[in-house]
Amino acid sequence: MSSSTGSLRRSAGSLLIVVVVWELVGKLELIAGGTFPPLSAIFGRLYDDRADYPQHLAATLRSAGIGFAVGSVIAIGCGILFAQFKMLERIFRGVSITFFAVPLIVLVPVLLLAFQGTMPRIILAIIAVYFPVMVSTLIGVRDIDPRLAEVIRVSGGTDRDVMRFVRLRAALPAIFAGLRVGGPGALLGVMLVEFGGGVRWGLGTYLLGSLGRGEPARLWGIGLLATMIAGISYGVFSWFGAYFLRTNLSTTVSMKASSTTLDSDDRYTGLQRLVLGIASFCTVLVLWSGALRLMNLSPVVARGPVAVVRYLFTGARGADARDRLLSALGETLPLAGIGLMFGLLAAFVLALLLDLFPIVGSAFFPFALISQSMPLPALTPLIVLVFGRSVLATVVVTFSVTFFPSYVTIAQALSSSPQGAIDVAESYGARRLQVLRFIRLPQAIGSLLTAARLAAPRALLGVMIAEYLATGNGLGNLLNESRGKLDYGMIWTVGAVSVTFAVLLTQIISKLERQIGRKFLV
Amino acid sequence: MAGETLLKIDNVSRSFDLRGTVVHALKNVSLQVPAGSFLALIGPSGCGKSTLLRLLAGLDTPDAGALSVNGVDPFTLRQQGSIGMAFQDPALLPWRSVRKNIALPLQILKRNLDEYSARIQSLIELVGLSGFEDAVPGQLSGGMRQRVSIARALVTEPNILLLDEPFGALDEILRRQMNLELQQIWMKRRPTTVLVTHAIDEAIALADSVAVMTSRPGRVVEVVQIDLPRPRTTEMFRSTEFHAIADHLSELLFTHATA
Repeated sequence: MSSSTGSLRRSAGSLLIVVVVWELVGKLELIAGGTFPPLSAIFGRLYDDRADYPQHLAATLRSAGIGFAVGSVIAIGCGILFAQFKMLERIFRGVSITFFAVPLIVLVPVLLLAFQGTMPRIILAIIAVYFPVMVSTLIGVRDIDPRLAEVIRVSGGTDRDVMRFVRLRAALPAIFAGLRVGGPGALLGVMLVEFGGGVRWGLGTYLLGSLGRGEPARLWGIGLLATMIAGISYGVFSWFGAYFLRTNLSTTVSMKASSTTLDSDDRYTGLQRLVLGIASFCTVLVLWSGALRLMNLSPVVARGPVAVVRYLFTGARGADARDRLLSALGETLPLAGIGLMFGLLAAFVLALLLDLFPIVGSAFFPFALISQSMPLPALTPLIVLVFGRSVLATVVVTFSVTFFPSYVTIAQALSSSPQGAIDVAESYGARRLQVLRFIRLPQAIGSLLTAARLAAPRALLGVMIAEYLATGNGLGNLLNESRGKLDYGMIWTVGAVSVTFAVLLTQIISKLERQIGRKFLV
Repeated sequence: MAGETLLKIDNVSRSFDLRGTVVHALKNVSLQVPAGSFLALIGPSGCGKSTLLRLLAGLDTPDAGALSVNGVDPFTLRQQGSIGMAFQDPALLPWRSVRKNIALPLQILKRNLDEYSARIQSLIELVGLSGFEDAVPGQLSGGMRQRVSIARALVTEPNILLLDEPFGALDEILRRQMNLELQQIWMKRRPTTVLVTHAIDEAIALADSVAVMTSRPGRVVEVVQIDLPRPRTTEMFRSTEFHAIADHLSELLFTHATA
């Protein structure tokens, strides 16, 4: 029996166990008094509601589809441009990092203020798609086998020819890896805006309405449906990516492993770095003010960077605003930190366990796939349903959005130890545990930081969504309240402050990451 | 052709900055061979032989000195499509078939591919890959891939053929076979050829002259003429003349390596 059919069988087996356990737990109402309904009830409810779904589904899919398409085109275009013109990438890096780190929910009120109809949904989908697709395009186009470029140049080719004959084609697997993440991202963006209200149709609207009425079976039905859509788009793009990857490998002896980070600044001097940093920071501010100017909004509603600073420090109610902001931050940040820590720790422990007992890994795979695909806006109401409107629910949301991506990152690092080093250890009679300790573990330490960098913005988003939807605490709630009170200054301030924190956090982690990386670089 | 018909390397120097220390890959290297001849560059790792080849290909520029073939500099030659190059790694585009990989340089030079289909086909036959026209590199063995890359280097009928250890990754038996095949191919059109190698027998089997190089700094210590008649055969590899030249070359290499 080949190992792939074996792992397929184990995955199918564990999926069956999930279904049976779920059904039993639901039937016996073992968890939180019926908030965890049996699968049969969920599917029964889906069938009963079948007349409602088409319009909700169509509305969400339409916005997500348009946002995904437009976002992908922009992101792929930017990725190619940035790969060609390094300085352009460096100047726009602040913008890129902002789009990566921004807790999308802070943009919801802003977009609802600025645009009508389905535009806010489409725009948030575009923003959600942009970063993963742009970065993977950039890396795919930039990091090609240098010998292929030399072949083109020796034959009289220019940079344009290298782009045309090598880079674009070689980047396809990376681009599809980006699109694979972007698809569920677009769905997340659209559903978040739907939570913000103002529209009659959409899965998010439907979900929020059902949360209010406390209908567990319907909530789960919507959640599973959204998961399925995200899962299908993930699967389709994975398939294309794998196809192009197969056709891209094969000949070259050492295809350079793609890095996950943007170019490091090592080649610049300290002063140049400072100038570049300031330039890329200013680009963010200029784009922010420029966008407001372009949209031609009233300055009361639309606040630029200067207006936000003025609101907080020189305005009449500045002191009061600062107090509210600080107390909200005091509630949100610790929760995000705790959730992130637990998520990372659990991911690390699980990755180690699975490395020692690989057979569990394939059984575990279906869970990983499902929870990777479940859109955060669908997951949050379900967790709130089970754990109540409590701090615990917030931590659970944060944990679950950080756990699986971190697990994937760490497990990949653990399994990517060079076979040669493992062979050396084993030739001296090293046991599995020793290989883990001497070879795999030291290599995986760096990946813990990578996982933290990728998960930190998700943790903040998770906490804020839970706060916004359910618990009535922290930044998420402050955002929601300010919307109700038409406190525009606060809406923009919460946005700016949470972006700043998310960016700072990821930058600090990425600095640590680079230091560790440099230390172990051969 | 009127004027000088020469491959000329004139007092070329090139150094690299490697983590703060300056490495003189080439220092004051001068070489001259007649056009249409076969030059081999031989030497230990780090003697600058590959750097010299990259300079000839116009992939790099010297810090001092000049290189030319028939008075034309490498950059111009490259743009004219006069250079064919094969590397130690075949560096084929993995998503292209054998035929399309060979056609790549023609596409870059914006030639009409339809006019060249006969030439491509004859090159495929020349390197012994008939029947594999539509195979992709992943379906070929290492030796076959290397033949594709040599066919690709020849497709523009270049005046200059640059070979950077093209058989370095092949086993000894296959390497000898490929050496003889390359000689056959070369004798048909006699492009000015520069072969980088670290195998003494390969250099003798193929070249009209062998430049022995040494490292730190990279320089040419002697140019040895190989006067064996062509076509050279496997029997010649066992002859006394062959061994005499081999002994002389290895003496040069080892004296300077330990000096």
